[in-house]
Amino acid sequence: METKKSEQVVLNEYQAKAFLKEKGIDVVDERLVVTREELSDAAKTLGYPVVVKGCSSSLLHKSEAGLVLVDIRDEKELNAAYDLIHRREKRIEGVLVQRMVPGRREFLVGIAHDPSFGACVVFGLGGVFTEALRDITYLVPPFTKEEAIRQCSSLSCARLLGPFRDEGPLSQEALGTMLTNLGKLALECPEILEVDLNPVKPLDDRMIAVDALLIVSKEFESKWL
Amino acid sequence: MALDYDLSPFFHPKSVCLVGATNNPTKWGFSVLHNLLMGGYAGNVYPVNLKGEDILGMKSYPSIRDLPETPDLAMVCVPNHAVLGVIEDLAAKGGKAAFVISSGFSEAGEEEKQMEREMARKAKEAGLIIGGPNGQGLVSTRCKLFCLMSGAYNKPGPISIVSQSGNVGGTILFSAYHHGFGIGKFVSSGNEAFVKLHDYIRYFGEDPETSVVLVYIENLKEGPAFLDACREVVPKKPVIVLRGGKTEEGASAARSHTGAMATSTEIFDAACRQVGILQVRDLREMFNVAIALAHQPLPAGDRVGILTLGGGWGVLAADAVSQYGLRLPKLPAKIMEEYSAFLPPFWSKNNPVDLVATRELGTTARSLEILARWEGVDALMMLGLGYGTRSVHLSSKFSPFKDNPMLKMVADFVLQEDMSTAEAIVRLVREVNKPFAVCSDAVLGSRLSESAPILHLENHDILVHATPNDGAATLRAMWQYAQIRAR
Repeated sequence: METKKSEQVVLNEYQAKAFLKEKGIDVVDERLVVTREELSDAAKTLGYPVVVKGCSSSLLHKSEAGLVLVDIRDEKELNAAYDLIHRREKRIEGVLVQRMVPGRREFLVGIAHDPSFGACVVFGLGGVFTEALRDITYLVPPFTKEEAIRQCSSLSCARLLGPFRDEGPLSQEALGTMLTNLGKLALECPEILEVDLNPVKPLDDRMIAVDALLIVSKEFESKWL
Repeated sequence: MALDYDLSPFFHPKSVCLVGATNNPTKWGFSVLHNLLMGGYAGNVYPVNLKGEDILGMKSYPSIRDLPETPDLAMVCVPNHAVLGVIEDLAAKGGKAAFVISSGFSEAGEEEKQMEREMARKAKEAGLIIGGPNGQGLVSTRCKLFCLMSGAYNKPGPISIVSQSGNVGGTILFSAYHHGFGIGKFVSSGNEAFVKLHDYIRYFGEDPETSVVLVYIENLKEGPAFLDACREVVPKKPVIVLRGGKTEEGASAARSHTGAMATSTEIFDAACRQVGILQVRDLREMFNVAIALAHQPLPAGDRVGILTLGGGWGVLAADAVSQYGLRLPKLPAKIMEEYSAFLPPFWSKNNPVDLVATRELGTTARSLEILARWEGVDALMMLGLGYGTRSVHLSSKFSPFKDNPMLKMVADFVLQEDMSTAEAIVRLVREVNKPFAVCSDAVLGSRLSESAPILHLENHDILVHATPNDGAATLRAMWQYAQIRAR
């Protein structure tokens, strides 16, 4: 954990997902490793193809720093990725190996703060077009699954909730569960300042957070970890 | 759900004292008392004035403590530094409620903010409720209570208003008065030191005299409490919100993508959608939608039938209807045949139904009835009512041929045709149980007092919209609420 401003703390991706998983948020299966041996074992356990990322709480945007290497198919590529990440960035706390989640649909799920409404859950189009298209909506907790689904259906990207090209419709149950659990978390844990899950990808009957950024207040650690 | 506070002393007091009453017509203490008396309030009224002089012909009292009875409601118009003392007097007298019009509290500075907090604390201790401070006052038409600086002595009606601006609320009061529509209750909530926006919304939600709740928001202090209140009220009655001061704040401090993208306006809009609040864009839309929801049936679907007395209006209406996400169904053969049996061959043969011209008295009404009774539409738009009447008025004023018997015959026909259409609309709204959005350029382009058909509709609680766009916006809001209601 690293303290950026006096009152803000950024959790690294691994810590963030471990915490969120405990709170009922479905996250991608992953291992945090330091050595090459651990790396190789982790990739074998998870099964190729995998994604390898540099894990650091001081870097908010890993992709831009070239620390996210996807579709690693064998041990040779795995080692090359390991070397590349270490060459590009020294300030990493380890290397994250993840099961690669297939599918082209990417959503954004998160928590943002509003001066009137407090912590709100965010849902919208994720991936690289998030900022450009701004197709996002909000939910003020507490809310029901029905409210959540209805709200998401008002977006332009709602079409992506149904069948999309060769992929089936996403599970509304899984989406509703993710959003309501995040809503509960926002209310029960005011120490969370911002959550950014992008991308969240649908897979069968799951909605899986592939990346996670968690910004918390300095009281968070003593209360929740 | 039980209310946090009983607000009935604000809206159904048996006696009212006005603290700070004065004979000086430039002061609030004069105009509020004046309006209270002029409005016809039937309960006991007690002017309170330090000097104890007679005011507007009434005996006054130097302090609340000297009153012959405990007033249900104290309206307070004294300078800010004297308000705390008034609250103490009221508490000592065993009062229940004060509404503080006086300004110079949290809106003024830090010291004044402390004063406001102290006032709220004192009130809580004494079991009093306080409205305001810095609120323009309140209205309750059922008991003819008009505690406002400028009075529109509205007749009773089903629309109640809570406004964070007295002027903005006043626009609705005066519009309703001017067009002959009733109002239930109005409060200018001011700084909301004690009774908050959501308390009023909840109270109106429970109020049997209110069926539509209007809210004007500038500074939403307790968002979640506001949403909770609206969530309770919305299944029972529509809550229509107009928001001013849509500033972008809070986003600058955010660091994640999610946080940086969030803006207070987007979150507010989403929150309204989430709980089923109807948001309107301006005062005119607020008034139009409120009147329609208060007095017309909800549509069962999104299909609109348009009848127009002129081509262009129909085109604009068709555009507006589809822009607002409503549908314009095609006329089936059965309906086409019905029309073709009596309309001239060059009628539009389409929805919008454009009559082009009518030669026989009652043609417009008959055409409208066919469209209204067709099960393929859920709501109706009527364009051009009052157009003919306006032309007749103008020509009768200026035309040197106004005594020409042929011209007189045509004029009579036009006036009668317009009136028979207006009468048909009033009848059909009840009979077919579908909403009508009547839009007429006579609202913009003539004196309403000269437009008998439009006045006829207003007398029967149907507000006529100025433009097709206004009408479509109203129908859209009604369809939105119908869907919210069906949840």
